[in-house]
Amino acid sequence: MSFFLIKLIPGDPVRALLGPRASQESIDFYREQLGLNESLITQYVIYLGRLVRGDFGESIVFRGPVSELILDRTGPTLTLVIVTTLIATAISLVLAAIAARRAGDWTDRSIRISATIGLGVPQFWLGVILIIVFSINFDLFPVAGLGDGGWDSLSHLVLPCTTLAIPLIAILVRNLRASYLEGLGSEYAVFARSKGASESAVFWRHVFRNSVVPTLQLLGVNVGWLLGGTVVVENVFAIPGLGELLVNAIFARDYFVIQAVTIVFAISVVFVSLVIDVLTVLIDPRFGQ
Amino acid sequence: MIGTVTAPIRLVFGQGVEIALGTIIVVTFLILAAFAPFIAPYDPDFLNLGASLKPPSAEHWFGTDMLGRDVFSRVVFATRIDLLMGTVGVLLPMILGSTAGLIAGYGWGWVDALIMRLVDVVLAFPWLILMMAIIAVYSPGLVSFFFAVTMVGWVSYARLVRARVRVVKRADYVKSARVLGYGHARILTRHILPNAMVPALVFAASDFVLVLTAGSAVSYLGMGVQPPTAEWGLMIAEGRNFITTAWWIPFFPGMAIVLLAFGFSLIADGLSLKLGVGDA
Repeated sequence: MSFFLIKLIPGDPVRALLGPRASQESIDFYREQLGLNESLITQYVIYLGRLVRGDFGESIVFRGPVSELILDRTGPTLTLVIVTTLIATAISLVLAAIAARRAGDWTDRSIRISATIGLGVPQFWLGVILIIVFSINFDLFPVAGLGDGGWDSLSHLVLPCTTLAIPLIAILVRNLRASYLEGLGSEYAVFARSKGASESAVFWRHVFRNSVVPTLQLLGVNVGWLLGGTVVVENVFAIPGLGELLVNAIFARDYFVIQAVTIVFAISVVFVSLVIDVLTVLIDPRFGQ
Repeated sequence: MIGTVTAPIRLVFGQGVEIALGTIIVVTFLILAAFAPFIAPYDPDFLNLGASLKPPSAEHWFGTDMLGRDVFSRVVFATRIDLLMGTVGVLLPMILGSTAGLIAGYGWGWVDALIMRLVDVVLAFPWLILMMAIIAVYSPGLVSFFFAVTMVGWVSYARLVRARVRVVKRADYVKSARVLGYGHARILTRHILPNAMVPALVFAASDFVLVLTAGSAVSYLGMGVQPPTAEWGLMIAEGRNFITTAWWIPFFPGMAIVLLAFGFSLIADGLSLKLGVGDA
């Protein structure tokens, strides 16, 4: 699908590559080399064949195989996504637990209102504001890039991950709180209480443990959204990841790169959903039926 | 603290505090948009290079940008384009998606299967990324954004409406309409549609938040609204090069997005609570 989408892009990639003053002979030569003279269907079949072998074609701008480019850029994006998911999940579990156990009082209300506000905070803005506050005013964290290993890299991750995590926390807290409240009112909670279990034992031993599956599923639903966020955050913090590659490729009309990045992102979403489905069944066999 | 703020509102509006507060916020923005020329003290595009990068003051409430344009006036005028972006960006996917969901849910096995496969394909892509890929096909701009958001956003509405239609079509009043001999078209539009649209309409309020942040993000990246138009996301992008000296250029447009989004989130929460649909 993304193959045909990309073919619709107006403009000649060869002309874009060689510049306006290129001779007609060299343009023809490159078109031939890139296989752009074949019919659309032939191009598609050749493309599919290559894709199966892990060959995404050549980048017009970087003049190298796209697969290498993708491998180079996957690390930063993956790091960003994994660190953010871990931090966001940990914080959300705690915040949602506090809110659910104190349902109705001011702590619950402030957590809920903050979460509602957090839903609509644009990441590109949050990133810029965090840079202004923590990098420029207080000089605590670096503005951009990845750092050169060890503590330096870690400190480079703080602001991008915070930016990415805050809206995710907002989504998770709202949903987890609802699922905790449902658990607290459920039959198994009533039964545990009737056995004489304390309210905190009911929560931590029963309700909290039952929230593992909803948490996993929530993460699965939001993985696409999280990946979309990396594009914006990598742009704000100049992180050389897949998202940054995509944005540059779009402006440079680097066909094969746009295609490849979009496909890699789609495969990741499908893969994560699959892993989460499997995990869900392993944890709670009732879902397998 | 929050209790003291919401308690009087709760007294007046009963349980619908969220809706009331959300509506107040949204209506305020509508007024800003409608009366922008009267509210904004300056022309939003008026260049005054002598007064560039001035911090907020009595003269320029939100300061001036790198070209000496009044940031407050630009934030006010941008309300027009951002409200338009959100509204059209919600309506088009809603119309396409609801129609698809209605057809898919009502019957005809293979049409249903086809539509749902399409939904699966779109859902496999992270939606901001698919949207950017579609915009890349055309030229950057608002029209491309509307097209992209429609191609990507319809799936949520299709799924919501389809699920409701499958329940509603078994209801007694639909059966009696069929017994009365009404045609498919009449049953679909008069009997099923009004009842199947409720969850989709509630979702539309929270979808506005998504579309607003996505649309301004696309503009921020340079693929949406183009300069010199005043748009919140674009203003934040323009302010990026001056963040060491002029925090006010990106700060205020962002606050506008957060506040408007908060208004719509409140309405969405209030509606889903009141109508008992969706996950509050």
